[in-house]
Amino acid sequence: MKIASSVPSGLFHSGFPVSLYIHVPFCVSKCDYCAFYSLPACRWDGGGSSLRTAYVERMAREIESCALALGRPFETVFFGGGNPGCLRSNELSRLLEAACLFGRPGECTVEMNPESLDMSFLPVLGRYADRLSMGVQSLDAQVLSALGRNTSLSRVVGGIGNAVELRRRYGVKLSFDLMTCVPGQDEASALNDIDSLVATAEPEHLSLYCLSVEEGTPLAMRAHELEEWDQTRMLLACWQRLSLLGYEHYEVSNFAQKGNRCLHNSRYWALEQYVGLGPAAAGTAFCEEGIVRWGCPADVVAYCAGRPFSGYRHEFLSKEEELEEYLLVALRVKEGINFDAFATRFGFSFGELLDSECLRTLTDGSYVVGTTSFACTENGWMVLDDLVLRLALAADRVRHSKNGDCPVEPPVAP
Amino acid sequence: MSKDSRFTRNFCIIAHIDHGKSTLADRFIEKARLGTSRGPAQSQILDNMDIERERGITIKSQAVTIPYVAADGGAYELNLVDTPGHVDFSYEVSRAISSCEGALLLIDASQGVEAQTLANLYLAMEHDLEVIPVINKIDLPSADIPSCLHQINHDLGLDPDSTVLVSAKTGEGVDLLFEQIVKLIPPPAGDVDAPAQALIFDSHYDPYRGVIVHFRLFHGSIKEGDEILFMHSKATHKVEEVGIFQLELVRTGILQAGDVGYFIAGIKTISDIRVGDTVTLVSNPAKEPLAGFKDVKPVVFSSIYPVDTNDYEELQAAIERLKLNDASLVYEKDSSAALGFGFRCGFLGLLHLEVVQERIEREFDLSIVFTSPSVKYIVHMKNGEVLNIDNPLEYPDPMRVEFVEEPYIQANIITPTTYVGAIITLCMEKRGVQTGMNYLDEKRVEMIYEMPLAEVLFEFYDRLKSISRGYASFDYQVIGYRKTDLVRMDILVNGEPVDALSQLVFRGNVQARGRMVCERLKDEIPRQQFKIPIQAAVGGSIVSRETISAFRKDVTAKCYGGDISRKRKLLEKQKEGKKRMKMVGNVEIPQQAFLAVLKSDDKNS
Repeated sequence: MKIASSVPSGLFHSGFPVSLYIHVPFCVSKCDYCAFYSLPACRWDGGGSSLRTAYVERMAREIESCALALGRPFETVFFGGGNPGCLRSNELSRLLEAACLFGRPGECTVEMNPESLDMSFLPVLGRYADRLSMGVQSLDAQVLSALGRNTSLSRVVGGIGNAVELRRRYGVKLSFDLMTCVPGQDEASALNDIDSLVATAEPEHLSLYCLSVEEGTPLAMRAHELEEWDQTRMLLACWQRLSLLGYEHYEVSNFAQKGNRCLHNSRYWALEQYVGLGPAAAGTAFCEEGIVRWGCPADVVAYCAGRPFSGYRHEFLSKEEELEEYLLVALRVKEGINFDAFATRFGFSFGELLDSECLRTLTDGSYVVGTTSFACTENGWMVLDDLVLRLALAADRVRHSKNGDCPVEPPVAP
Repeated sequence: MSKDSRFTRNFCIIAHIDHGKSTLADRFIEKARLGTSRGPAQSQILDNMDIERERGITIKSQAVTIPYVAADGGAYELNLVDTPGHVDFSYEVSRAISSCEGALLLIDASQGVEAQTLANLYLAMEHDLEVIPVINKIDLPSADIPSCLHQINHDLGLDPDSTVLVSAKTGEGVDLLFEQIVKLIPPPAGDVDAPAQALIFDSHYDPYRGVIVHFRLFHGSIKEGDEILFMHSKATHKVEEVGIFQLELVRTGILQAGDVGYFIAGIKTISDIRVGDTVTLVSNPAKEPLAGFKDVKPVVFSSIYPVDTNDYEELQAAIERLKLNDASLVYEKDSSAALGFGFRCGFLGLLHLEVVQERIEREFDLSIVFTSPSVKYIVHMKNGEVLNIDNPLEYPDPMRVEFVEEPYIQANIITPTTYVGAIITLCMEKRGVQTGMNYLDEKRVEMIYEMPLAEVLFEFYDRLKSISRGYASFDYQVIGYRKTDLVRMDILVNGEPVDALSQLVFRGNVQARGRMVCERLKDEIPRQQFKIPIQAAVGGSIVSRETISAFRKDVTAKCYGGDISRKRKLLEKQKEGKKRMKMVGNVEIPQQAFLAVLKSDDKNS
C-alpha cells in the first residue's frame, strides 16, 4: 500500500531517526478536567462491528505501511490517548506488533488508566512495551472526585498493583501522572500523593502536572483554579519533595530517576521528527523547506470511515514558526538550548536574542547563560510562558534588523 | 457663459449636535433627485469619513449643489454648505457660514434650543444671514412644537411664523422648506465684472489630483487657465479645473460671482491653503481680501508617538496625509526619553484630538500613544523672559519662574433646572466662577461660567453629560489668560520617570490627579516578572503611589507533540498584544494605559 501524499513520505528516507505516536481516542468516560480529544465508551463501544474495531483495522494498516516505508525500527514508539486501555488486549497486541515490525524501538511506551490495566494486558505489554505510563492523578479520594475521575480509589490502587506486577514479571518501567493544584487540594495532600506513590511503586518516572482549568470543560463550570500564589507554593513544595526522593527535575512537569527520562517526549522537546497517527494526532517531519507539521482532524467517526492515510492535512512551517516552536519546547528541558545546535538549525547565534530589551524584562535567577547553552532555572520554569514570549519578541527584532524591515533608521535621540 | 445669479441660493444648516443636520442634508439631496436611488448604502451622504458617520458628527465642511424647480417655475441652484457640528471646529463653521446668504437653524422638536444652537445663531447673525428656524423630528412622540416655537420667539428673538416644521427622517415638510429657502433667502449680490474675490471655506486632498479647494465666489469669475493669487499666503497657481459639487465633482469650466464650487490648481499640499483666505486673479487682483481671515490657533496640545519606534517614518507620513485634509492640525517634531521620536501636535479641541487619533489608527493602521493633553501656558520668568509652554517637558525650573498664566474660557451651559445644583458643584470643582444665570423658561436655565480651559480638557464634558443625564449642553469660547499656580507632576514607573506621562497641573489638583493616574496605570499595566511601583511626584516629593505585584507563575503544564502548534498560535497572538505596548525602562506600558490616563473617571460620575 502506498502512503498517501498527505503524510510526507520523505521523512522515512531522510536517514534521520523517526518516532511514532499513535493516538487512541477512546476513554471509558470523559474526566471533568479533560480538554483533549477522545470519545467516551457510550459513543464507541457498539458491539461486534464497533467503531473501535474499525479504528484498529485502519490504524494497523497505517502503522504497517509506515513501518514498511521506514524499513527499520522506529526510534521510539508511544501509544497515548485517550486511554489505550480501552482497546481489547488482542487489538492492542496487533497494533504493537505492527509498530515493532522491524524490531523493538529504542523505547516503547503505552499509556493506560489504572482502572483499565487488568491482568489480561500484562503479557501483551510485557512482550512489546518497555514503559507503562499510568494516569493515576491522585491517591486522595476527594481529589479524584474533584477531578471528576470516574473511578474509585480502590480501583486506582488495584491498577498500580498490576503495574508493579508488570514490572516484576517483564521489567517494564513505570511512569505515573499526578495532578496538583486541584481545587480543594492542599499542599499536604499533594505531597502525600507523591510519598505514597513512591513508597508503593517506586516508579522510574513521574509526571507532575499543575491543573489548568480549561475553558469549556465541566470542571470549569464548578471550580476555579487555585490562587496563583497557592499554586506556586504547592508546586515548589512538590518539586522539592521529588528532588529529595531522588528524582531529577528534567522538564517543567517531568521527573525521572537517573537514566529513566522519557526518550519519546524528549524528542518532542527537541523538535525532532515523528509520525503521528490517529484522530487528533500531529506529526513533525523535516523537509527541504524546513518542517512539515501534519495532523489528523479530531473526528473518530471520519477516521474509521476513511481509507488509510485519508484526511491527514499538512502545513509547512516557516523558519520563524519553527523557531517559535523550538523556543516553546526546548526551554522546557533542563539542558535548555545548546548554542551550537541552535546556530546549526537557525543560522544565527542564540546570543543575538539576548538583547538588552529582552533581558531587562526577565528576572535575574530565572535563567542561566552558560558557555554552551541557555537554560531555565526552576524559577524560570515557573514563568516560562512569559520567558518564551520575550525571546520570541526578541527573535522578531533580530529578524527585522536582518531583513532591514525598518525602512529608514529613525533619528537618534539627543 | 453667463448665469443669472437670481436663481442661486447659498445656505447652510446650523444646529446643535444630534439635531439631525446630516439627515436633513441627505433628505435635500434625495428630494432633488440627486441622491442615489440605488440603495441606502450610506445613510448620511455628506458625512464622508467613517468617524463622522459613527459618531454622528460632521468634522469637515462639505458642499453640494441641488438643482430645484420652484413653484414659481424658476430653475434654481441651491448650494448647501454643510458645516461642522462641534465647538472645536467653530472657525470652520464661521467660514462656511460666511459663504452663505442664509442659514437654516435646526432645532430638535423634543430637545429645544441648546447651547450650540445659540452660539451658531449668533455666528449667523454676525454675518447678516437670513435665518429660517426649522423644527426637526416632528414625527417623534416626544416632540413639543409649541414649546419650541416659544423658545424661537422668546429665547432666539426669531419670527415663529417663518418657522418650518419638518421631519428629516420621513421627509415631511421638506418641500415647503425648499420653497422657503427660495422665497426668504436672498440671492447672492456679487458683481461679475469686478475683480475676483473668492473665499476658501474648506479644502480636501485627492491623491490623484492634489488639493481640491472649496470656495465661494463673491465677485468676478474664475475659469480654467486663470492665474490665481492667494491674498494672505501670496501664493500663485494656475487653475486646472473648476466645477461644482454634486455627489461627485462636476466640471463646469467657470464659476462666477455668487457660485459655490471647487477648483484644482496643481496645489500639492494643504498647507499652501488657508481656510478663510481670499483668492483673486493675478491679472486683475482685488484691492483687498475678504474680511474675517484668522489663523486658526490650536488650543489643545499633545504628543503622538509610535508604539513601535520603527514606525516613526510611517507616523510622519500619516500625519502629513491627515494634514492634507485637515488644515487645523499643526505639528512639529518632538522627542521623549521614554517614547523616542514623535510629534507635538496642536488641536482645536479634545474631539479634534480624538478624531486624529482614530484616523491614524484606522486609516493608517498604526499603533500610537498620545500624551496627556495640555493647554498653552504663558510662563513669566524672573528674568523678564516670557515663554509659551504647552509641553510639560519644556516647563522650566520652578525656581526661575515668576508667575504663570493659563487660558480661561467663558462656558455657556444650558440645562434643565433639575440639574443646576450638580452642575454648580462640578463647575466649582473645576475652578469655575459663575458670571451669569438666565432662566430661559420655567424649566431651562442658561449658566455662564468663567473657568480654566485646562479643567475643561479633563473629564469635564463627560461628567457634565453624566450628571445631567445628557440634557445639559455646553459651548465655550476662550476669553483670555489669567494667573495660576502651576506645577509639573511627573509619573515614575519602576522608579523611572516616564516623561510622556508628565502633566502640568494646577497645584490644588495634584493630589487627586496623581492618585487617579496611579490607579489607572495600575489597572492598565500588565504584571511582569517583578514588582512595579508607580508613583506620582512633584519636584522631589511623592504625592501618590501604587504597586503592581509580580506574577509568580505563568507556565503551561503540558506540551507534547500535538500541543505544540496550538501553543505556537497562542504565542503569536500574545506577541501581537505585546507589540502594542511601549517599553519604558524595563516595563511595558500598553498604549491603552496612556489613553486611560486621559479619560474621565466613571467612579466620579
